[in-house]
Amino acid sequence: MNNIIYQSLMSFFACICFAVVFQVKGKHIFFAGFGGLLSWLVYLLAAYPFPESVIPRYFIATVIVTIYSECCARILRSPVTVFLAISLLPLVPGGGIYQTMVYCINGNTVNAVRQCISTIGIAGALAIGIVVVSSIVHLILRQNSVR
Amino acid sequence: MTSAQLISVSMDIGQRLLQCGAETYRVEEAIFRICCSYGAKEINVYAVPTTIITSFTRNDEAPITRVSRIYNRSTNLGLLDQLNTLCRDICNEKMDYQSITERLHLIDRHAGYPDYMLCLTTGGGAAFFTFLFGGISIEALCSAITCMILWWIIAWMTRIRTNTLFINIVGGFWIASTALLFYKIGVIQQYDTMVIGSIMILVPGLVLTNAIRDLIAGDIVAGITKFTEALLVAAGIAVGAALPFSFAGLLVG
Repeated sequence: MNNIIYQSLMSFFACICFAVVFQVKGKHIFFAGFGGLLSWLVYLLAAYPFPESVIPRYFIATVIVTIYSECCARILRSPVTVFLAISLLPLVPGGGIYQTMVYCINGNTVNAVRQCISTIGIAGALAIGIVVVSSIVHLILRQNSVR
Repeated sequence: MTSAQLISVSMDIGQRLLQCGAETYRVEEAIFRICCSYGAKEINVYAVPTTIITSFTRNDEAPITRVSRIYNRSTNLGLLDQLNTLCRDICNEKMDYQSITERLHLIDRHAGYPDYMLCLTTGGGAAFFTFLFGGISIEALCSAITCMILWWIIAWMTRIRTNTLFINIVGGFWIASTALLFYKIGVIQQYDTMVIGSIMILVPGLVLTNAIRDLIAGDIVAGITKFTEALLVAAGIAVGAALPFSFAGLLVG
């Protein structure tokens, strides 16, 4: 449990740093950083219901974080991307892309293909999570404006 | 506002949006809405990460078309926020040409964070990612120093317009060789966490995710372009990082 809190805090500070690198201003930095904390926390906690596979964990974390970002965007009147891009940073499969290329260069084709498929799977889980939530939000908002 | 002014204003905004890392659909929608609110008909907008094409007719004039080629892109979410606000204001208030160009000038002149701040936060981000991937304090410190120096290298290379692939080869090379050096002189016990933590500032994870989002949304060409970009960047980093490891293997035997 201590480890979960420690890692989530690290994710929070890392996201705050990257928010500044990406030129986010004012109190938006804090909300973006909190999104980073939330994404890693949900990812770690989802290990209990899904111990054997990582893809559902990434999907659930993305869904929660996208909902959070949509709420922040409505409250603070900013584009969703400002919060979403930063909150997703701990989840994006950077290490996977890197590992794939290292296997490729070392001529380890079997591991390269395995790593590549898992990386694209993770990126796909993130993308589908974002698309599902933003489509539903879009539907609800349109429903309200039609009435 | 004349049609020529309308297309130049909408293209200026679209171009800036694309350059600061907005999604493809947002760029297309922004241009479409601006043109729509000034009474343009038959509006067609096509955006991919390197080009925007806009075409419309207005007041029974001949159709008017503009093409804009985009050369450099980066992620600048503050600018994205401001442009989005400007876009919303234009659609709501029907501002005239003069005031829109004034607002655009203001946004262009708006200063971002100072260099030392960006440098420090790049180092800090790398350090915290090293912690996140299971590193200890000394490894995090090493990756912070490495990435702060790397930030200066990248800033300099961007200023002299080096291409993206070469920047990433140099970045990967720098991170891997400093990690190996720290490992060899006994400052750190393992170099894996330091390399992965530091490399987070280079890897195109966000680009890959956005590429798949574009593909799902139906912007096939934009999605494939971004996908290729992500692969190219990753290949650059890996080539750069592989070099010092191979050399170290040769030397040690």
